Amino acid sequence: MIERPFVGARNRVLQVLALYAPGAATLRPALHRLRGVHIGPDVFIGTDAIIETAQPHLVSIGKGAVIGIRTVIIAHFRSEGAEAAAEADPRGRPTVRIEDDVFIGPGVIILPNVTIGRGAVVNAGSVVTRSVPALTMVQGNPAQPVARFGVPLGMHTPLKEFYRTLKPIKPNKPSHDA
Amino acid sequence: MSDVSAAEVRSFLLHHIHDQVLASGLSPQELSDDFDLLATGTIDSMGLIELLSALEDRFGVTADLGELDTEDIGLIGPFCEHIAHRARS
Repeated sequence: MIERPFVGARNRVLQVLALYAPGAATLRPALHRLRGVHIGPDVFIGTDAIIETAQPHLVSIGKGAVIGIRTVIIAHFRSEGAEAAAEADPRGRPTVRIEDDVFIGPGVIILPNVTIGRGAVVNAGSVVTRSVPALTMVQGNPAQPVARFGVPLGMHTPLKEFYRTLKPIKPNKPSHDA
Repeated sequence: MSDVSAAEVRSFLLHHIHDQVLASGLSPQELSDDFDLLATGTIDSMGLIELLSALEDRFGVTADLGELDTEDIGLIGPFCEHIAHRARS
């Protein structure tokens, strides 16, 4: 898909403004909405977060989600399939879906074609390459499930209420039977 | 069901978080039962998950922190009592 120069320049200027503008829950989400990112109400976006530079309309962020400082969201890679899909559907559908009440920690990288389920938590520094189930905590590169819980870790949830519901997920141990 | 005491759980817990406690400028031996591991930042959510997993491996107990009062979650005394109680039941 060929990016129109004016739209591309406008999106980039708005992205740069949104990096350091004050108002994590007000001005920054508003700037990203102007760029075309689908953003619900009560979303918090930390400083220096990059949300899909060229095709912001491919990202959706549900209500109450928290996007940590220096998060990078990439919603498309250039490929034959992606080019053909963009030509067929120039407005596109989101390829990165961050559902309601998701908590993205600092320094997370989110790659295309993932859905992060309602209330999920992505720990700091993780790289999300696959979809994350709702109410699940993931960590690492690639991000793997480490715990499940019963209440979302929102901006207004007391931490101990969240901790009360934590249940570790045991990693699958490699089999040595073969 | 196994005969696990809160003192055994406490000993294991303090060994498990030994490095974090020292990094906080404290000594594991001087932590009282009402020392709050979470409120003091001694362990965070990942630390709690690792601790719960280690306790499960050691004592065969799946903790249910929902059985504790909210304010007691990170307190060493109630936490160890809870694990010991789960091991006995």
